[in-house]
Amino acid sequence: MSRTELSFPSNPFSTRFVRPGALPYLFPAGADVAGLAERFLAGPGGAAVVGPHGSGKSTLLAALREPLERAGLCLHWVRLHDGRRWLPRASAEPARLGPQDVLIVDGYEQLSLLERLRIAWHRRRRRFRLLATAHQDVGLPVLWRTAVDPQTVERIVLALAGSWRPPLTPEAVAAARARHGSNVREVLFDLYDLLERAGAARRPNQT
Amino acid sequence: MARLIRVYEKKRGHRCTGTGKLGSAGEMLFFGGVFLIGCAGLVVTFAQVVIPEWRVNHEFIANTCRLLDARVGQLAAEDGVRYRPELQIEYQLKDRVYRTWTYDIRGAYYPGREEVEAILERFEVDPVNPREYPCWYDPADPSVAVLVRGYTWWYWLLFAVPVSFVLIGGGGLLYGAARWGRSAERVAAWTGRAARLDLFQSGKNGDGEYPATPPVENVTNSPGTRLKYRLPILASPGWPLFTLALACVVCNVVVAVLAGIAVQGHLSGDPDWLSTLFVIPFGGAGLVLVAFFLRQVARVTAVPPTLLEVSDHPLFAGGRYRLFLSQPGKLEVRSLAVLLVCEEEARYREGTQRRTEVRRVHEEEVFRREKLTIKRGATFETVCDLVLPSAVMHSFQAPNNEVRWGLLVRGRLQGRADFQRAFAIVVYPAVERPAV
Amino acid sequence: MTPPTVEIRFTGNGRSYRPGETLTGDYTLSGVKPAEIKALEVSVLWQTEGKGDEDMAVHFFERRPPDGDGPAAVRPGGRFSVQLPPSPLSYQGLIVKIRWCARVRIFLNRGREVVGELPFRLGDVPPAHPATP
Repeated sequence: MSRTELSFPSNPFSTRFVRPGALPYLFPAGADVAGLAERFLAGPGGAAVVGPHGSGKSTLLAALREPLERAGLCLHWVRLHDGRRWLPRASAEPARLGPQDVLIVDGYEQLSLLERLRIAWHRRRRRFRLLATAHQDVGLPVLWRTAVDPQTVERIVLALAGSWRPPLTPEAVAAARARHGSNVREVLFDLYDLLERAGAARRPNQT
Repeated sequence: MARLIRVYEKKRGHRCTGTGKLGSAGEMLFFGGVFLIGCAGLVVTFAQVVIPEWRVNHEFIANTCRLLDARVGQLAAEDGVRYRPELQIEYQLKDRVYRTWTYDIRGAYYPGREEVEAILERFEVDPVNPREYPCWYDPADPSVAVLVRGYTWWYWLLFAVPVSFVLIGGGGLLYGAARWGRSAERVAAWTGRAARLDLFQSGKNGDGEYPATPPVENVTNSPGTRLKYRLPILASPGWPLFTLALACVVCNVVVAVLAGIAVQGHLSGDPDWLSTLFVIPFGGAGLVLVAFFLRQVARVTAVPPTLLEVSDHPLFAGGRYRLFLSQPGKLEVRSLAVLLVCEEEARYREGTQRRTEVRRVHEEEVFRREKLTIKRGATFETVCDLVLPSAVMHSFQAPNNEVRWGLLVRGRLQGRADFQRAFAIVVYPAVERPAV
Repeated sequence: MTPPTVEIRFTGNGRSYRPGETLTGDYTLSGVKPAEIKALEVSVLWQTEGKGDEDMAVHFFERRPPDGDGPAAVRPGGRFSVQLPPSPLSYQGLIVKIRWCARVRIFLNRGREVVGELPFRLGDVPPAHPATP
């Protein structure tokens, strides 16, 4: 058996490195996650993180986990996909939450108006907190608007890759941004492919 | 003795091969139902609209009547009060006098009162000396008479609804009938379900010998006719066609109803241009959908089912196997090829996004034939070698990631759309064991 | 004071194995007193990497309670031995990669954890590249 290539290098843009929680949310100067958590705790109890696809809403939620748990709150996560109109049956039931609970709904705008009203009604009665993400305003006070500028994208890429090394260059990042706009998730997947293509070109023909 | 359709047989993977006839019967039953509903709708529309007007124009007998009274009939509908002209007439047949309220055979209501009053103004009511007007009575029931004849052409738009049902149901029946004549095995191979993997299993294959590989039962419980196993085909055309048919029906029914309302508004002198403009593009879309559905039916039935059998399964990397390909006609083939392919599939779900990405990492032609004519009733059959490379990844299955092996039969046809059919196989890691 | 660490070594210093072969290794803990250790877990597992969500499956798992609770007590070092399965093999695909590793996790008092990990290859599947028809 060949004893070569004992371990293969990881692609720094694999999902395990870019997923929310693995990747820190990069705040602009003057803001940090602790301050944001304080603002949420001091607020009316309901707030939304608003921003376009792939701009870091889920990453910001993941970053808020630690300060909110440290504040003694119990977090209930709900991730909505594919236009779900109702809270999944397996998720926390708003009617049973209390003041120490935070219902975190990622993709809040997918919920039907009726479901939002139901959550709001229970929130008034049970006094639990609601933290939502949405692509547009959803009638909740906006806690943070996620927006990504070119410098932030470069900071994220550097945080993942460590340094610029061809084919990973600022020009390649700019080209990926030109293709995917502010969707950082797609930009990072684009860079994943860039590195794989470069690696594959050096590999021997398998077939 | 002819064999009856069996309701239950041994399950062959996900493919229900044994109940192929039952499956076809079920589909034909559905399309037959749609067709019958359409026919019933046509009958009702004929009975309610066409026949009464036709009889008035061709069978009712002309007579004269005396006009006694006139009034505006009212009906409280959901969208407000609707009106119709009602005229009381008296006419005599032989020694019997008939008296009735009438106007036309439809007895239809109008949205505007003014419109109805304008109709009534054409008739002069004189209680002292009632005036005479022509009328037409039904010879089968002389108590039924009308003051006007003619055809209401916009009512014929109502036919769009039953006609779309008849088209879709009839198309489905033709599709089913096209398959009905095939052998049970070929029908099953064609409509068979893919050996889709149970993504939420414990990470072990059927017997647990090779963890994180897909189950092999979908192939090994399906014996072949020439070689050991018949391969399951991926992606049955049945459900996509069914969904398309449903979309056709829903879209055209909605369009027909909206069109009826819009036309009624125009005829009553109260046109709703917004809804008219809304209906026109949707009407076009409905027709395009019907045309697309019929094209898909024609496309699916155009190429008879392909059968692929393999000498052993699961396959092992580096192993040598035999493949049996069977393709019935009638086909004028420019090229027919069998490809061995391997694809990676990664599914990612984060935030509100769900994405699936597929990359092909191996593609190799294992059989090719150029310029082939398969006559109607004849079947092209061939046996070829299938040699799996030894230095390749085996089939792998986990909830979010897969490495999938398969065989593609790709046909390029003369003057018709090309076709491609995919068959699932499971490849195990190379081992030092004799291949078949 | 040095921070707590776990070092894993495979016997013979080999890190590439055939399916069915026995993987034997040992681990040593440093910078930690035996009294601080609440439990220790040894596992051999595979996980995916690439463009999909990560999948993981544990092939071998052993939890060793603190010293004094039984024969498999936690000591500053230990050995493990496991027969490797026939699949899945290590794989460097384009969007799906499979990595094998041995992992030792120490649970210390006050909720602290220390993890040591050493990757190895199972099988000899060459890296994938885009198919060229």
